[in-house]
Amino acid sequence: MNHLMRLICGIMVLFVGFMPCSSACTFVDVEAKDGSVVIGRSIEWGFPMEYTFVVVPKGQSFSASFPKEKVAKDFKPLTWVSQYAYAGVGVTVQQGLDSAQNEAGLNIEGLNLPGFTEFQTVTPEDKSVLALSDLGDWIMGNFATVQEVREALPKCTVWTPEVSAQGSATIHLAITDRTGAGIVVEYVKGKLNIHDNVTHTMTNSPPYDWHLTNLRNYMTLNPKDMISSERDGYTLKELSTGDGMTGLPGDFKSASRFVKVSLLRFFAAPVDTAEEAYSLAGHIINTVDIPKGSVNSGDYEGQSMLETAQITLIKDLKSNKIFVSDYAHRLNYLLIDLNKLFAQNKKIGPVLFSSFISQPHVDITDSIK
Amino acid sequence: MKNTIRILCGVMAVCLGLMPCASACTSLRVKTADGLVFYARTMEGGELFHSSVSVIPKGTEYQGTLTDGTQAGLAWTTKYGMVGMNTYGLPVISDGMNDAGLAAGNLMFPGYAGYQTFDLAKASSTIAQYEVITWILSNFATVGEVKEAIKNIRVSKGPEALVGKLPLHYTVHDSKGDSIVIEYVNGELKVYDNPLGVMTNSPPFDWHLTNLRNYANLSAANPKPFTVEGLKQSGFGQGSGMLGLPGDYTPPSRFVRMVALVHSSLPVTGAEEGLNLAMTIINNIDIPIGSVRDMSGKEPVYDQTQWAVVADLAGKRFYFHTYANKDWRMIDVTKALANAKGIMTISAEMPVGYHDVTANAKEFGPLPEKYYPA
Repeated sequence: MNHLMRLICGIMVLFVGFMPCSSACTFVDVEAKDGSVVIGRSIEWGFPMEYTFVVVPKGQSFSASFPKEKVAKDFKPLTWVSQYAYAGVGVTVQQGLDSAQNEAGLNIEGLNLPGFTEFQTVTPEDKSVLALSDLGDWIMGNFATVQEVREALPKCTVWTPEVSAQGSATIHLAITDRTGAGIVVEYVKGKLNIHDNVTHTMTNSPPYDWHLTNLRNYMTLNPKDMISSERDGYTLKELSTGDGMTGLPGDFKSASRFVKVSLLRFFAAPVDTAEEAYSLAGHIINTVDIPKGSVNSGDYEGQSMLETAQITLIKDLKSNKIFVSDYAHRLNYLLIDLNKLFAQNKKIGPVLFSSFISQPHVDITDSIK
Repeated sequence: MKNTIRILCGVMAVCLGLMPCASACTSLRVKTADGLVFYARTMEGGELFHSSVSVIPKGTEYQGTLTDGTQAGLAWTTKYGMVGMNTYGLPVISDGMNDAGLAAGNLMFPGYAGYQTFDLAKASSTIAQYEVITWILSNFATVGEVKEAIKNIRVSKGPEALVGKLPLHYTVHDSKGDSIVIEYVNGELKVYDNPLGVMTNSPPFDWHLTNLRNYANLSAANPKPFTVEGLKQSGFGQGSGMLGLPGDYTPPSRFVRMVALVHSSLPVTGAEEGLNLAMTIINNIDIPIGSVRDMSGKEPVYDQTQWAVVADLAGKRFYFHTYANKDWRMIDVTKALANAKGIMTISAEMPVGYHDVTANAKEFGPLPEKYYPA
């Protein structure tokens, strides 16, 4: 994280204390038969945010921040030199990376988990201490696989400063690697919980294991239509196709989005190629796209907080690509080829997404013959 | 006495072993404005439990069943007399109340119930999971007492080959209106305060509480009409504020439905109104045979609401009805216990006795000129 980013984050972290924890996010990963692993992810907020993009080359030195008053006198901060180049997206109200992938194909997505998240308490016995704002850089710079993270993370104490009386950042992480393996990392009541991401999806509160249990309430949902049902000479016929999925929740709350994207992914026809996987991830994420106005999470300083997916990302973990669109340009995505940026072997950004997102429509009029 | 109970428990264990885990149960608590407490619950199940009512007086000796099948567990003598629905006619209570005004019931908890590991060295403090309600009603007058005492006993599975399949959790209510849920998950005892008074089946209680937050939009009040594109629209009549209240028979849906009904109903006063409200709400769970089918075996198993009970904790009256006979029947707990010569049984089945009101017909007179209410 360079100085500019630190400055922006420093300013904005003050801001987070005043923000109601209303943000919503949806995550899905999709695999293609050719081995491609593709992430689809939306970042919703009800407040206008700025998003930054950063590229970090390998060989950068880091030192984790720690609460001085809680560690032992001879405490040495956790330091590391990045082994992998990586690129990420930050939300300016949060410190650290909210979404990132490295050249080895490891990916993290931070989603809000309000009301349940409580990071760990640092004690003088703790040797490896990481602030939440360091976590993205530490994971991206040090590891290539989910298994490595699963082994390393329990050895660290992850804390976050109280930013206001309303509390601190409340984030859980979906971590995925190039093989398609995935975990969900949550800190609840000061305890680290690592769940296998068996659904390959994640949304917001409550914690992942609750959502997994909740899916069992939807076992009747079926992509196959019930064509007709006959009883006592009276026949009920389906009104239209799609009736097998009657009861699929359509609202935008976290539990409903989890059920919706989990079942859509579960029933999705297998895809062969990376291109098809981009398309599938995009289609699934589109199903939770909120037209501005349908979700009003209350007033903040006299303004209605109208939630939208401010940024949507499709990410290819095999070929290191990011496709990005913002709310204003949802009709098509822009491509960032990370391998080209990694090859420059230099630090880039943070740059504001708003400085380069502008998707002109591709005018095909002249090609119609 | 003790030998008889031992044999009965053994027989019961055999019977229980045959029960599928598909059965469902619903329970709730109603408090009146003047502090009376009513507890209501249904017992659903595909396999018929052939329940009757047991009346078990104070001073009856019990001994807990151990995992190895011996009747050598915790020994206790009932401190309170109790009345309740049994299973297979045997004096082990599935749901009932005692003469101190404590009510307790076991509800199915499949997929999650995990009792404490059987430890022969601790046999003298161990009972089987299907003996918990009998033990509670035998010994305690308040929820507070149960909360403390449950920590001091061990609850292990009954004999593996016989009752290994019986997964239960427990709901307990006292006449002050305190309620708890007792669950054993992964061998660990969990006692939850239950401010809402509602409990159904799996998953665990804390999951249900979180799930309620998914229904924060429900309202007893009908929504106001709204205008879209100049077109004034209003809800389809009464009840539109509760659109989305789940109507199916899954445990989470029954839990949400009971909470919505108990906590949106207007406060009632007095024993009669409290009893009526408890019965009105529990009637919402009444499964017509055929609407719930367990297809996991060779033959479908049809769930039915085999019986429902209401306990009047202040008045010490116990009411029940059965699937075949929807007439509520009443047992005066104090009187039944006073008259009991040892353990007594009251059959739950009796012919339906509709009040024949034909003879009440009274002469009205000629058709009046105006025959609509003024």
